[in-house]
Amino acid sequence: MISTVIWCLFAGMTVMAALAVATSKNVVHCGFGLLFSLLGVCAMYVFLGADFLAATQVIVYVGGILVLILFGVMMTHRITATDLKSELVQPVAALIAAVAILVLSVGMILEQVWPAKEHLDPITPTTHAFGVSFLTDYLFPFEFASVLLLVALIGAAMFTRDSAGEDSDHV
Amino acid sequence: MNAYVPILVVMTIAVVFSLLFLVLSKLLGPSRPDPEKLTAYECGVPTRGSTNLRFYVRFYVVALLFLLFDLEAAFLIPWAVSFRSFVADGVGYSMFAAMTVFFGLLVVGLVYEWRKGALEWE
Amino acid sequence: MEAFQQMLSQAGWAQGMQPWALSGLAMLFAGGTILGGVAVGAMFFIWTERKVAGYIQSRYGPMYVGHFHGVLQSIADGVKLLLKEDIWPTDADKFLFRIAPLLVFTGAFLSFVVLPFGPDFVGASLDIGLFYAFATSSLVVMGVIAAGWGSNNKWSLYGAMRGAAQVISYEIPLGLAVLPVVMSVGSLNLGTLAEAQRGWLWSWHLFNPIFFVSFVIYLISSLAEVNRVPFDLPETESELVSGYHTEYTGMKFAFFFLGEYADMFVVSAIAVSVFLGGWYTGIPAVDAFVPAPLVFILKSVFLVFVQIWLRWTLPRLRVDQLMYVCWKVFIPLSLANLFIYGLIRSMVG
Repeated sequence: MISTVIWCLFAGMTVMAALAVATSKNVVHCGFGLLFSLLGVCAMYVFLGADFLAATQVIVYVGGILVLILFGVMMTHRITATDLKSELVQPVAALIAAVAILVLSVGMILEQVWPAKEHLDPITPTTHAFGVSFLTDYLFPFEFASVLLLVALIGAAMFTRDSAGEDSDHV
Repeated sequence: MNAYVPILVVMTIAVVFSLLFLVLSKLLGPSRPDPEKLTAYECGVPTRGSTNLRFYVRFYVVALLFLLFDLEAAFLIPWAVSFRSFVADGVGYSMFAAMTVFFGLLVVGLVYEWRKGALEWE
Repeated sequence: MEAFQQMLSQAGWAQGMQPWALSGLAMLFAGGTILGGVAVGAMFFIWTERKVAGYIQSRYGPMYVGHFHGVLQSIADGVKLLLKEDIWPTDADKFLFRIAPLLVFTGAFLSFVVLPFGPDFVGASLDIGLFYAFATSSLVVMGVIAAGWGSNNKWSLYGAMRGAAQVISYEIPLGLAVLPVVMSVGSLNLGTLAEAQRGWLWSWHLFNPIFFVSFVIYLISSLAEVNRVPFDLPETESELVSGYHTEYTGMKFAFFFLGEYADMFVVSAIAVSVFLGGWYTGIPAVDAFVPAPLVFILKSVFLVFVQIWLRWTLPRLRVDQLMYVCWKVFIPLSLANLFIYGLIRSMVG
């Protein structure tokens, strides 16, 4: 009972923060809306017993991606004054697409048989299981992930080389 | 689930405590604003220019590199946790070899960054 | 938490209570203890900092409040901060300016939950304890950015950007440095890591050559993680006024201050539980009658003292030196350390 209430609070926080991200005019506020949304998702993972995933969610998404987004925002000029409106406005097409996606998702949610449990089991450590499956069943995707990260590292190096000549404030 | 309840309790206590003290200080403290006092304190002279600074691009690169290395660490941690049981099962060597491939690519990436000067901050 | 539960179940007035009420009450007590401990501890560290600074610089530091060497100075400062005006700078971002101290304080405070003060004295014995402690520092980073951006002050923003870049950079060597120990123990639970060092002094992880390298990397990186000298570039009082909390006054400033000192304790306590034998004294016979939390806290306070000592002894690094040390020294070194440990363990078993 109490856990349902707490779950609803976190779910509400996730959705409200996501709405704030979508509606806020200030890009930095969007970033901080995203922070609360991501923390809410982290709480959802905890409710599902995925402890390692919950911590990774915070470390990678909040500590990594969100900081990256905010740094990117701060490198651009005139953040608060930016009008985020698109030149091209097509309300009819947008409405159709939105309704179609809504119908599809609701249909999928109703169709799916969810393996729901009445009572959640106490959290069993998942980190060890991750380690074992990384190196046994999922060895190829695991090694492939490192190739992907290498490609991203090379891309990051390119990024610095392009901007090396540009003059900027040294902080 | 139970193991995480204390975190929720402590989080609630932290937020309630800090809000309580912020309200208290609002009630107890004076409020005598004047335009001079409210200006940004930048060494005592009148502020010049906009706060919308342009930042050195390295900040962005550092955040990008952090993200990539963070992901590597997220992969390394489960392996490190299970390593002991791999060794105990006698497969430590092959599991280490599998990890070396992953690890080697990470080192190649780091060396590449180094050679390309992405780690410089001048 | 277990200790509180035990105490409550033996107390007369708590007899006949429902088990859920009992554990709820125990949790509230534990939370209250953590809160009180953090507040009193931080005040104690602030006083220590000023006294140590004084003695290193051949002066006394606080002497009057509380008669004996100004012991009550921090309390007086706390009351003063509470009674100060809460200044909102013009054009400050109301939302970000308000949540920044909360994020910094909550982030620091939350990491206390996993610290193993003793076998029974741990708020939440999480299996991902160490990883969780790193995750809470992400909240602190967001708080720093919010403070810098919300203040509408150029120096605050510079300080915040430096702070965020520094904290995230040093999180990598910090995480990689503890991995060899995690490999040896096979757990991220801080209590389990401490438990693995039971016995004589030499069973502490510190005395293993590879873990010793890890410890040195961890100790230096943790200074950067909490923005202490020689890595105090986000604050640099000689160039950025006071960094990201320049515009903060009164209680909001106090939260940044509390958060900083609480964080110093957290990184020290993690070092103690991973490398310095946790709550063990190093002599099995003594362990039997010395209370575990006392040993743990004394060791952590010693490391906090080392941080204070370094602050008043070392000069500050430049930004490029800071980044050089992180990316070109610590990260390669910790990767090599990790690799060598893995190689040895997989060969020797």
